[in-house]
Amino acid sequence: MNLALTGAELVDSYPADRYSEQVRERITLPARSARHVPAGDVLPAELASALGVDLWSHQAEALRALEAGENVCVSTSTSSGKSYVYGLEIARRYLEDPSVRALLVYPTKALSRDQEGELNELFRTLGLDVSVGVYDGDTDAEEKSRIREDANVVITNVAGLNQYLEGHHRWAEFHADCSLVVVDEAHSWTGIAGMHAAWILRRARRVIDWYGGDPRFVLTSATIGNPGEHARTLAGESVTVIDDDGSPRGRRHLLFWDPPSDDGRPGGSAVGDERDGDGWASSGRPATVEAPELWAHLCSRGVPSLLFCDSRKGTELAIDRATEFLDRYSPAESGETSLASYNAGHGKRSRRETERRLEAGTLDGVATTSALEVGIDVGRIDGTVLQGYPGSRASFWQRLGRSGRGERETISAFVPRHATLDQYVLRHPEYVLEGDPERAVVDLENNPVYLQHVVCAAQELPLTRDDAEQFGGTNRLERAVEYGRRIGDLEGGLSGGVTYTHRDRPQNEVSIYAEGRDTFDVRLAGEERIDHEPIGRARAYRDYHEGATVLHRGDRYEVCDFREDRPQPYVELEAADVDYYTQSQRRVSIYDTEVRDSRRVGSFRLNWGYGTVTVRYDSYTKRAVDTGETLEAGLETGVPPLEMRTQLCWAEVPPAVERAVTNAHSEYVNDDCTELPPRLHGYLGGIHAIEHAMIAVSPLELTVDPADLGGLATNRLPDRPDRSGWFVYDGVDGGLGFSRRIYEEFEALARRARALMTDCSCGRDEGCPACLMDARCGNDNRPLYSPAATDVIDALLEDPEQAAEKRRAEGEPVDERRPPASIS
Amino acid sequence: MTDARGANLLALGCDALDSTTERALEDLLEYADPDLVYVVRDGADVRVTSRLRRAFDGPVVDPDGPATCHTVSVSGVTFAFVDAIELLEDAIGEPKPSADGIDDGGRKRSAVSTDTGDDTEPFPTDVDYLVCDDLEPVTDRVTLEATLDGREAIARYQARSRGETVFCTGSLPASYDYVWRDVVDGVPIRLPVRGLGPIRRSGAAELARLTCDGAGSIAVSSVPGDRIGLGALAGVGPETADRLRDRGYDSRMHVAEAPIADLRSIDGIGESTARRIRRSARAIEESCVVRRTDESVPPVDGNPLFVDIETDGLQPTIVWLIGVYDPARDRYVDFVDTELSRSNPGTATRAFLEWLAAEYDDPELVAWNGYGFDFVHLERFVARYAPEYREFWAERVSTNDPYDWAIRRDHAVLPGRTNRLEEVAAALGYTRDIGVDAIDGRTLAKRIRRRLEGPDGTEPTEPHGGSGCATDREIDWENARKYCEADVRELAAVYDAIANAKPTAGTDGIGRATGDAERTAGGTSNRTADSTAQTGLGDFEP
Repeated sequence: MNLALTGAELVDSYPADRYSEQVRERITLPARSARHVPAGDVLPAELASALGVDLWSHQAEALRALEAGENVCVSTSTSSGKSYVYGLEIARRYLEDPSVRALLVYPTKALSRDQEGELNELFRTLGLDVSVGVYDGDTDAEEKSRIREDANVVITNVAGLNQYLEGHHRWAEFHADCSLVVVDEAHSWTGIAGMHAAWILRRARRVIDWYGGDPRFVLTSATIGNPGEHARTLAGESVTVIDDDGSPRGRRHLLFWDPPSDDGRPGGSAVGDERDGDGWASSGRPATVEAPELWAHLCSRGVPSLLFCDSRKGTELAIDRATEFLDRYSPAESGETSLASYNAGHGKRSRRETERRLEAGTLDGVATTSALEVGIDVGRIDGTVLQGYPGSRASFWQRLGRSGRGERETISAFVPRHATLDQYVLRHPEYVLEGDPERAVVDLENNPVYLQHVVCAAQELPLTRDDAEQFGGTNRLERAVEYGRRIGDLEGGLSGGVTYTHRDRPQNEVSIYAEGRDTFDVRLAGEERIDHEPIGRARAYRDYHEGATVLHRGDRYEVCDFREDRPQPYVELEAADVDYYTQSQRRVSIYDTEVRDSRRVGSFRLNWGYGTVTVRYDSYTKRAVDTGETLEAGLETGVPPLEMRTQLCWAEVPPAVERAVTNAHSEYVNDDCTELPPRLHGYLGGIHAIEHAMIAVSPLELTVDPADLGGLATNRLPDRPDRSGWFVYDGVDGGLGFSRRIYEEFEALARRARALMTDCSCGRDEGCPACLMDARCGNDNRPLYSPAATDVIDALLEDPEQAAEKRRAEGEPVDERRPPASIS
Repeated sequence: MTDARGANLLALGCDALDSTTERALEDLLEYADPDLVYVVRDGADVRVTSRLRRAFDGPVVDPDGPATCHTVSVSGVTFAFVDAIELLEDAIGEPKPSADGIDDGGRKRSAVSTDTGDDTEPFPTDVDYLVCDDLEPVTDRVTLEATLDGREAIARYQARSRGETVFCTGSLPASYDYVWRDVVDGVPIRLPVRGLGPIRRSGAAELARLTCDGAGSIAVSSVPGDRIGLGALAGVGPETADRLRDRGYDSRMHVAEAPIADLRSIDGIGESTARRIRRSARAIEESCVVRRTDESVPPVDGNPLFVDIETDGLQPTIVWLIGVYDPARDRYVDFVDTELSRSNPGTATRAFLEWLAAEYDDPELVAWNGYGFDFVHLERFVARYAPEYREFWAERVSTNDPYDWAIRRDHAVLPGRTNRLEEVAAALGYTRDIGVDAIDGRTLAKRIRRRLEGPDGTEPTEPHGGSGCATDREIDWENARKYCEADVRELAAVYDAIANAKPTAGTDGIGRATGDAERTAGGTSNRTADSTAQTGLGDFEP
């Protein structure tokens, strides 16, 4: 049976009174046929015949590279059989030597269990007695010892690996025979967790070396912009990139489905009207209504589909909305449409049941969280609906890729929310269709994280000069060792061996989602427990203050206690059935900037370096979950100011540009900005808008959560009080490497920021929440002024020669007095 | 505890002692036998210090009262106690030190009897040890910079001192040992800094006893802060100790003689805990091994080979001596690497394995805390430096750890305050029959580490971390070998004592009030926090 509805048929069949030209883009992606390589070309005959199918070309290419002794990074599409690469490699090695051992590192425990089953099935098919064991916090002690001694394949996760390295002598045999290390879903390791993963993998490599193992690395990754660089940074080894996808793909119909306004006008997702104060809310039909309806329609018309929502509650609500819609519009003759929701909040049994029904084809549709984005076999799914942009291109395609097996034709729809990235993507379909994928950012520069792993490494085995190459280079390692000796954590020197001085386990101090030792435990009030990683201080202050709501794996909690005055700080949560969420507002000051690198962009000077950032999260706002409307503002968080030394990037505006733009927009006055000189409202609103917009669009270029970035626009730069400019900084102590990448890709981001403000359908100089406004803004999004912002960006991007010419032709210098004014 | 020459300073943190009774403090003081007690500033508590003053008949230096600078001399060693670094700055601030800077504080209470400081006397320029809790590293993890608060002041002090003063601070743990450097008037200055504070470990903190000699050399031994008084008994934490006292048990001897029924009537103590507590009291008070089970000590029916390894620290970079005692042949053999080759730290390990494989088909090694240290590192060294014996090690060699068997697996209760081998042996009445100075393992390890690093031109020429003497001391290999031999013979004796200890009566005896069997139904006891502390890492020195 073919796909039941194409894009055109979908529109034709949609209930007339619900359709008002939602389809903004209709794109057909052509089918791609598979490129096969006979399995016997790369595998020993007995494996090839047992396998019984041919390989796709990229799998064969990867296996050849491995045979040549290379490390590989396989970066291909969803369902392109990446796990077969290492599964077959293990099988091939096992045939040569049944004592072969391999270490498989997955991002999460849940994924580990899925992959265990898949690998077992492959080895069964091949008729090999390869034993596979999952070794993590859920494995009991006896099973652990069996796995250490016997399992050929040990599956674990990064956080677990950090701990197990401490007891390496118990793994002596395993390490000696370890010939393959696999890092699955490598693209997911970015930011803080990425740094930790990179160091943990280096520590693992070092321990394996000690016992005589000499493993090759296999990394698998979704499509990212820099697979080779990313893999090298993570694994510390150079890799051969395999990205020429030989897997087949069916024809895909992709619709950009823009919810209409309430009164039925098209383009509703971006229609806004001004309400009280900063209150901005879309008057369009929200994506949370539109997407479930569209999904229900597909499911009822013979297109089994997945709906991707951003919370557990969202999946449950979607079922209600879909059912209402079907009650009203479903043709009686089509029979019952069978829908289910799927998320981690459901028990294991219920999830297995849904998975089973999906596979058996007895479900017409599933509304899911990201839980079904990777791993689990979803059976015959023909359609996917995205309720909102998932934040990255990789995830966008990963989700769409869940529909259509092999060369089956599929249909997908993207339903944008009234949010910055959604609106940008809606207006720039080429961004997802043609652009280079985001670059994954892992930064090894962060010293607080580096120090932790140097100490762990020294505890595991004496550190010597030979380790310098993998551990930051001689100079940096010497400095870290000297630091450790001075504070009493380390002893000895790099020529004899540096060791740890205490009897405890420094590995316990490592929390892969936090930047250092000052972490907060996350607990649940009462007897129950919550499976929540400890969080860093910056995040605790920002999002876990008393009264904050926390969305964890789709469930909403409220922070009822925040305790920092004890050896192990913690926050306590309680489940909260509320229909608002909270956002803290920040006020930022920056000082002691230190330039590490500098370059010219047009007539501007752009700097990257370190600075001290003080962030005050004094107040927070409650907003309605469905509309984003402000319910209460100015509530007190009670947290003290947060000071960090971090990496930042900042642009210095040349005085001539500042003068010209200030003069050109001196009439613009925002009556609420009483503390700023009125004639500067236009210009300051401009650089403030650029700072907001650049942070907002940064996920389009980098794998970054904008919450990890902050900014400040000021007319007195700390190191040059006679200049104005704007900052973007990394929101954790020591930095994340994001501002460094923004520094490198500044022009591209500036262009995207400009497009964001000029293309937004709000048409307002002061912007809207989908373009310039930032819910975290500590200045209530005032002033923001896009005409001045685009002038500044144009000056930034123009040729400096022409610019100088133009300035000379322009007016007189104005008042040179410079009252301090900073807006974050 | 073994005694060494010099002044014994016991450094205490009050938080570890806040619920400790005077009687328990006496017990602690008797055990540690200090010449001088120093209370670190962090967490200082007047209630604890006043109890200490009553319990101790010697100088107690605590941070209570006005800040002062004063000195104490004990056994020919001079300590200066400086309550605030500014006072030191004032005292040395002018060419002729005047008393102006310190007389606002005046002298402390008369408890510091040997005080040589006086309102009118200048602060001495040449003490052996200067103690100031203001000395503390200031760190910046982002820039990887660490400096020492108070460095300038102590550098100027050192510049004037004739000998080399060692600086001590309660703001750092007693394991801290680092030589800071500074330059005063163009002259490079060494600033050895040692910690006095409690050493952290899992469970309770360890208090430090520092034996300080006149040459600036400090030997640290630790005293588990939770194992004093009734707290020394397995199964007794602070709460239970209080309840025992309320019931009238104020000493371990009392508990050793208590009827089980009476112990059981105390809240929170059940049958098995009562037995456990009493067994432990008997073991300590009667200096004997008390068996809980009648299982044989492993290796069962085998020929144990007693082993001990000497390394250069807690996380060894070298195994330089391996001693083996075979009681069946009454023969001691050792493998020593006097070359201390950095390029091959596995020399001794390889020689040991060659010998072992040649002499024994299925050797059964026994090491005290071997599962925690000796076997762990031997295994690691075999893998790296003698890989051809990896299989022999894995397949043929059996490893046994009587400490693990007795304590972690709960088969027996040992006498001695800690379960360190020498302490258990001493409690059992074995005395070392060696005509050499007892040398403490940590100091020896440190000397080895220094030797390993010294000659290399790429390392600082000054010894690392060794705040003791500026010049390296030679390693007396013969002495070290004798020491190792004494160790493995002692281990054999303790092993025999455990193997020969009989469960006190028949094996049924549940419920009998006295003279009952020491075997409990169910075997494993409830493991309380106290029992974990009993097997804590504090039992071992490197």
